[in-house]
Amino acid sequence: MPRHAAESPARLRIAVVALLLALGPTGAIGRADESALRERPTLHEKIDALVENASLGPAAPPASDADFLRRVYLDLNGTIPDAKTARAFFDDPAANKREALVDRLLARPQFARHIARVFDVMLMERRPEKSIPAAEWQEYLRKSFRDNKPLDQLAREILGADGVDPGVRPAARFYLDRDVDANLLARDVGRLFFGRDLQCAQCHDHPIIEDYLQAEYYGLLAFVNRGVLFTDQDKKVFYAETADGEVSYKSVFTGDARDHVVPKLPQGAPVNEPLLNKDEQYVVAPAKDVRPVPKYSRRAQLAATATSGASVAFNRNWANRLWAHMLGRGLVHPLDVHHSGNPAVQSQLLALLADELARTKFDARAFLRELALTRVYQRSSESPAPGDMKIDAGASSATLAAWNAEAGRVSAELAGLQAASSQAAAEWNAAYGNFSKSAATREAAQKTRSEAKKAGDDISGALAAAIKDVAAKEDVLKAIVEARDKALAAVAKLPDDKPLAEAAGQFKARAEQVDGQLAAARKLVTDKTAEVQAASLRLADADQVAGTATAGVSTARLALDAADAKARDAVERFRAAKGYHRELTARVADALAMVDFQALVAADAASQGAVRSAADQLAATRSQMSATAEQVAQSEAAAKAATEKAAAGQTALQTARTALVDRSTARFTLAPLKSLSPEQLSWATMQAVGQVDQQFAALQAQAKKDAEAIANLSPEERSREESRLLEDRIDEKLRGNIAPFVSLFGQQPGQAPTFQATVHQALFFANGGLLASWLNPGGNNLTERLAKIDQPATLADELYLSVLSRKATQQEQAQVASYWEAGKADRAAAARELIWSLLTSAEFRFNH
Amino acid sequence: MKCHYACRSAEHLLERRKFLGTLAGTAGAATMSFPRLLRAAMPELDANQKHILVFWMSGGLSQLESWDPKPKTDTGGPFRAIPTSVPGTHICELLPYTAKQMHHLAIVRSVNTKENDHGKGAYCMTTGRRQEPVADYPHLGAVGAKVLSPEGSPLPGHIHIATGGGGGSSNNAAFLGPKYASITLGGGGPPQNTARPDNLTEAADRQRTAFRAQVNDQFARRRRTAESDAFTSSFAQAQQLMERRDVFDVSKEPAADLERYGSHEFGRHCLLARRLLEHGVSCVQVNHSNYDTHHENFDFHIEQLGEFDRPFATLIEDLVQRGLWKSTLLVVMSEFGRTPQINKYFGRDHWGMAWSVAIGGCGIQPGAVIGKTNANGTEVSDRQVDHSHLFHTYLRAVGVDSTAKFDAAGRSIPMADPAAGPIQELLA
Repeated sequence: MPRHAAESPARLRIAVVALLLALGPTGAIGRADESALRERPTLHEKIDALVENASLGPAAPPASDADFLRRVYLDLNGTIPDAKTARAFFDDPAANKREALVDRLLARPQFARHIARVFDVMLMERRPEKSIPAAEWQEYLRKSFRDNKPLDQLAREILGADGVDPGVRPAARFYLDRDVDANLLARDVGRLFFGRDLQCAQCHDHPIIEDYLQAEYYGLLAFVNRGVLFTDQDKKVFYAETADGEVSYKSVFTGDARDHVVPKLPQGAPVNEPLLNKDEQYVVAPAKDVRPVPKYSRRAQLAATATSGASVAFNRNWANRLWAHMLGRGLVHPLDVHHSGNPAVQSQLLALLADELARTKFDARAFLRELALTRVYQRSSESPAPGDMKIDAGASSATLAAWNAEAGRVSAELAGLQAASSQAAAEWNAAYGNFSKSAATREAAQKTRSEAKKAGDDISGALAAAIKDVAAKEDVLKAIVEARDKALAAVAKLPDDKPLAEAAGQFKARAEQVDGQLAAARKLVTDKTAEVQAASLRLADADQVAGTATAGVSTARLALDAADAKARDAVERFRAAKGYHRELTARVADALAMVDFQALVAADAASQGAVRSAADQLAATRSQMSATAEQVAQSEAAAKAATEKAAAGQTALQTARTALVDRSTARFTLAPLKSLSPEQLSWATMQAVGQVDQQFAALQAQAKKDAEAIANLSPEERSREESRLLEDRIDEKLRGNIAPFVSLFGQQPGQAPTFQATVHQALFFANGGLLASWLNPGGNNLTERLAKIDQPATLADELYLSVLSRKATQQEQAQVASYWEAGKADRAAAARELIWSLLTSAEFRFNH
Repeated sequence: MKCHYACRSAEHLLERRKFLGTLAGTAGAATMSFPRLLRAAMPELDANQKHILVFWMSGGLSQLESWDPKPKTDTGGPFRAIPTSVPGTHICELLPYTAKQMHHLAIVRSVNTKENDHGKGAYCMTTGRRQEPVADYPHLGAVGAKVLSPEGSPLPGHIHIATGGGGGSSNNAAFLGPKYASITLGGGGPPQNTARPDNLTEAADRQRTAFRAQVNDQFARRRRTAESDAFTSSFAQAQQLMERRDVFDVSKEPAADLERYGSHEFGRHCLLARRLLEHGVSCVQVNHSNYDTHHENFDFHIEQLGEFDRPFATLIEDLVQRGLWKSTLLVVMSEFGRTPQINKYFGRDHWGMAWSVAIGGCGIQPGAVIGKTNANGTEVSDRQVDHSHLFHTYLRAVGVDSTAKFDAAGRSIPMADPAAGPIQELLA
């Protein structure tokens, strides 16, 4: 078979590099080559080398230009190319035309639109719109991908969103349209950002998946547990967060319980949180109709920790999801079931991709580009003929032996690693117990401290009041004393004035009375002062206790961190080894299936030979005059037996072949059939029937004018702006047509997408008014264009290029010609029927 | 008569519009019963195929005006209780025809779902689970369509018959996928897109289909998968469904039957339900609106049950006579019942604490009465059950192990709430 016809230039380049490196710096290298060589091997070369070394037998040959063109259009732009583009691509003799095409597609506005739709469906799973308009969220995603916002930043905005900042408010849809339900968020953040559906671990450790622990679930939940949906007076909805709200859980199986769960990402360390005093926790304290804002936000912490680049689970999840977007399935599959019992088909490859994604600052566009350039992506999806599935017996048995030996080596280490992991986990548990106790102590100390503080504040208030009282009384006393003294002076001058003497007596008495009160008030001040001092001592004590408790937590935390680092290391080592062992076992099993298949092919060939020789024997017997009826019957029976045996062999061979095709697809040595998403299906259909072209023709002039109206643009910028405006307007005109496709072909809200072919989908295509209206001739659509063509060969090419993005084969040209001849009375009707037949074919429904 | 709805939920306003639509059609209700010829069993009908038939009493049927009357009590309202074909069992006098069929039915009088919200109550009753954000569960009809429909049947397995609705599909199949979501036959019409477009002759349709087959065969030689095969055969099934479009055409039933069921819309819907079941549709739900009687509960139940009683009873009688009763599970359910306390508008409000569900067929213990409420119906006094027990019971009745699990993309999900079990006394 034509093995890797397209790969030889790359291989050659690598060989050249090796040679040049060996030659040293004096080797003569041309300038162009020099820049090409600097980054070698590229990511896509590394990927290819890894994939091809991990399976036995030949990988599928490169996809045809037609398959590649349609595939890469659908994957990067969400639709199919028009006939003109297809023809130009096929006729392009350039050796690097695939790479050039990938770059063109990545630069088109359709790329951002399509990837935004993919992310919308991935992250929202077609949930109904609640607090944030879906259109705003989609536009936010589209702009993010248009500007090539790094994926970590996108994730940071989404996971950190509270809906307040108008610039990124749409990002809050992930939280708000899930009603900030903590369990739902823990599940979906786990699934979509870390590749782990931990829902089953909500009530107990996962019964089947060993790695999915209740602790993991609650570690994740703790990040979002303090969130609530907050509606302000304008009915606008936000994510509000409190500063307290501890997470605790108890297993319904074992009764094991844990308090003061510290937020922690899957495979991550427990977060180190600031230990703030209770009265210092808020920027905006909770109150009625007020959205509280804590000084320390766990939501913000989640956003920061997840996207720091250090979260292996985060990085692998996104590498795996981008891989699955291009390759049809994840290296880990399903995408949200990462664990050591379901390892990556090739863990080394996943690790490489994850590291590379983080290293390149989460540049999704560059990453997708590398994937698109791999041989893995560019393989044919056609089932190879049994004869093409040959392996080299000698080389493969050596490879198999090596893999088996490797599996054996890893297997031997497993028990030790498991013991170490259990030991470390036990130490971790003890450390957590201490930490939890210290956290409880701190919480109690904090309570005492706040109470002491409140009591102190109350007494200080009383003291202030007493001091004020003394001052007031002193003031009064002063006035009375003055009056008394003046009255006494007057009495001295008028000794016989009795009323005056009485009045002076009253002043005197009142002065004595007030003086007495003042003494009491002063005593109160003295008393309160003493109390304040006592309270302040108590507060100082409480402060000290709280400080000690906080220090205790910090100490316990240090111990916990140490235990945690050790435990994570041990657990991850064990899990990695376990996963790797499983991966190797699966690899060996696939290889053995390939080996067994060789035997079936040989047996089949032998059976076919036996059939032929039995037939020859029968013919010979029959032609012998002397043959008895019995001899003829014997020969007939032998021939029949041989035929039956061969048929049984054929059945076994075909079954094995189907299984092998599935194994090869899962191993990425054969391209899959990917069903088109509802969005891809609707846009591809609109492209094929001419709806998009119609809008293009109608809107192009205006877009050009509008682009020209923008001042100070270079010609390239103007052309980019024009195509951006045009894409935007075509989308606006046609996007309403997606809804019926989504409702028939999309998953149910909140569910992961799965393929289902239903009668109602078929009826929609067979009899629905929408498709019928697109197929009626008019506006220079495909039906109208085809109906004008006389030459059946031209017609067939135009039809197949427009709908299936490839030229018709000779056989198909003949089929079209005969249809055309039969339908010559009504060419428009015949054209409509032919287009319909291709639109409803499996070849159109799937990306191949 | 005016009905003032106190509850302003969106469901309500919608149901109210549907309800007003229904009223218009009630004038010419038939009053006579006609003898009829029993038709030969449909050849395509598999005698072993089980069916589920749900009467969805939208808004919340009052248990006191139906299955659990409490006459002469402070909560009982103005109606009498009448004897039924089951000695000792009485139901409300608003259901005289149904009373004569009670020996085929069973009543569960001790339902307590603790749920007084329309949406959540409907969710409980149709899925057997309480609504929670983290998990969505399929409707009983979707489950039935998945486990009861014959392999490769072109007919939709899950049909709802309602006054409104455009013949499209809904989002009630959760992880089972759109294939099992209900198709609503709005106004009793056929499903969407089952008629060939006017500008396409049958011959042309055959030709384009033949050409399509060629294209598919050529592609299948390059690559075939389970998915591509399923896709290809969905078109063949669509063709078969179109050929059997008559299945949805109730006017094909004998005129005498049309008259027996009544010429109003609900009567036609009941007859259509019979027709669908006879032709092998697994799950049918007939909606009847509106029972959300916060005002004038009694007048409204006279009106609504007056329409409901006779076609419902006629359908039971027919299913029994046609031999379908032993393979058809019938359930009459709502979101909840109605408060024993009568409010100041002579209405009854939402009440999930002590209400009734009627159930029959498929071996359900005929004539059984499960559980009790106290003297004036304010609480369950015996054998309390909820939606999860009922859901187990439905599945067991149609021969499904209700402790079995679905595989949803690798996740295993119990068909019914594992914390509950069936109501054993109802099962044969």
